[in-house]
Amino acid sequence: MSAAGKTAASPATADVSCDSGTCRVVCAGDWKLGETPDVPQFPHTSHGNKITYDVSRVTSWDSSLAVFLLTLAGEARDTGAIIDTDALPKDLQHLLALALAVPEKETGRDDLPKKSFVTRTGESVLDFLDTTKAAITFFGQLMISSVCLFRGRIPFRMREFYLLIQETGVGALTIVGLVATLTGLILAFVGSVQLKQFGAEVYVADLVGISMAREMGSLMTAIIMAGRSGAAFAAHIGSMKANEEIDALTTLGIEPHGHLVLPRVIALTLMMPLLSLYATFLGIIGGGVISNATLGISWSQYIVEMQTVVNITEISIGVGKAFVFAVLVAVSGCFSGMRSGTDAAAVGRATTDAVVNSIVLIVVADSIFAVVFSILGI
Amino acid sequence: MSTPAITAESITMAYGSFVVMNDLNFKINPGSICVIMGGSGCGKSTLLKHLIGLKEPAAGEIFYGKESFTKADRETRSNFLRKIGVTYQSGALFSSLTLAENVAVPLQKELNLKPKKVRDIASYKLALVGLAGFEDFYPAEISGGMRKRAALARAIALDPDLLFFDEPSAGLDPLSSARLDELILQLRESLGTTVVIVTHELESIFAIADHCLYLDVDEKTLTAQGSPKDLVENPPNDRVYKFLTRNGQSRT
Repeated sequence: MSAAGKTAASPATADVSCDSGTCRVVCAGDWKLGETPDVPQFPHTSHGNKITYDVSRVTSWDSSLAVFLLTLAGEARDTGAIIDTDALPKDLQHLLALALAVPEKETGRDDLPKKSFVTRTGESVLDFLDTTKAAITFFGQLMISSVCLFRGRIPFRMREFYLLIQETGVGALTIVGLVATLTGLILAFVGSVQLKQFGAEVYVADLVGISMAREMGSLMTAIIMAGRSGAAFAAHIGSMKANEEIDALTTLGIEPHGHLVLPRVIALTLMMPLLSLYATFLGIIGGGVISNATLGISWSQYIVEMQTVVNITEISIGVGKAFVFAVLVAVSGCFSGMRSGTDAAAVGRATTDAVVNSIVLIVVADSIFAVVFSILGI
Repeated sequence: MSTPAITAESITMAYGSFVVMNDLNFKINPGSICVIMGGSGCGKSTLLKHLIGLKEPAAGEIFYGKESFTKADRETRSNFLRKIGVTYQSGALFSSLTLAENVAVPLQKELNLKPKKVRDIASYKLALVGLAGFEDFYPAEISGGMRKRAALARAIALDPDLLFFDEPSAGLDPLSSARLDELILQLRESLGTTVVIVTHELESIFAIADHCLYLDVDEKTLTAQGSPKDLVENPPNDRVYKFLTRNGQSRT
């Protein structure tokens, strides 16, 4: 907005002068956002005075002048002054009136008392209990949905299920294969350095075989799937919640657990053990490559040694763990998605929660497995 | 005669091989309020996306003033975009930022201001749209209508020369909608902003539009343009008449 008939650009200025009960605020120059003067202080003698504006020397202006005048008005109001805006151009008066049309909301946000350590700890505990209760309820609902599914009381959309199988299975082959192979390589390489000192290089096959079959195959697969499928489940379901699609399902009489959660849990539970087997196989191959290349162990030696330690029990342990990890990852991902808020940030938090919770649960479960297998002697 | 703020020359809009609209020719005068209207799915929002550079026309050219926007290099286009403000259908506020921080985003990007001044401007813009005191709220904590108004505050943060609205009244109560119309008129009056609105809210169209563009979904082109009053009194075809009068009957 520019005042008519004015010419050269000059910096914006504002001066306050008080005389016989009236303070005069004189603004001049070009008022542009980013080039405005600071709001001047009113002298103490201006208490209860009348404040008038003179903007006749303003050559051009935008919102910056309105912001300045509003800020000034706020300061003046604090001194109990009466503000006269009659001298302002009509456009500016209208903008100021519009800004003041709706009274400022008293949010009381600044008055909120700071919470003590005890209060915050208590709230965290209550929040944890609430989440635990919700997780148990969620798992219970999932069990009920499973029973309903097997009794044929809820429809199962096979097309979507096949897509989930593809996403959680075939889609993960490359990344799982790469990580598993590298894990096998690393195990063999690190192991070979130590075993070489004792002339027991051939036992690299035992080391890689048992590690991959019992632990690393399922563990690495589970961690990859937590970051891949678990996060995807949380983000997908969270977005659906944000778009009120979950509400729509509920009001259509479709139970969201049976429709959204169960197919994901089943798909991942079916795929993860297979991926774990695949990871174990590739890890063993990776270990074989290193054994062959750096230790001079032939492939036949490696395989024969491998067969002495990797039996059906070891494979079953790995597959069994993968099955449990799959349930944990899928349930954790879906649970986080279902608990998500309705904005983009909440979906992001839900995704993070899904991955973090999955990995923590996987490690805890693996520790429990280790203790149990130790007690059972297997 | 002054140079139009926006000129569209033979614009064709398409998604791949599917042509949405053909041969669109129109001019939008500076300081005017232009409404893009038409039936659902006719390509109103798509046209808006073309005007703000989110989509490229399959053919034709868009000019901002005398300069081509379509053929502008990256830097020139960035300068054009500095002068426009857009409010999207959903508001499109950044959910991890408070309302004041949302409004501050363009201010911080374009101006080298102290945080206090940025905050003052953000507060003023929020007050303009009736959200004084909501500076520290997050988008998730306010209603859909308020989100839309906050989005407008962000769009006008830099006093743009051109302001684009995609369905501004959708989801607003009648009073908020009327207030928004009033605000649009005020911005035009005070700052000389050119406003382009995609809407089919007839009340808003008649209240604020200087010029209307009617996109015909069947003809796949612009079949009518003019002031809303002229279009009602002298409609070029029945579809425009029915649209503007909400009347299923043909003009007799």
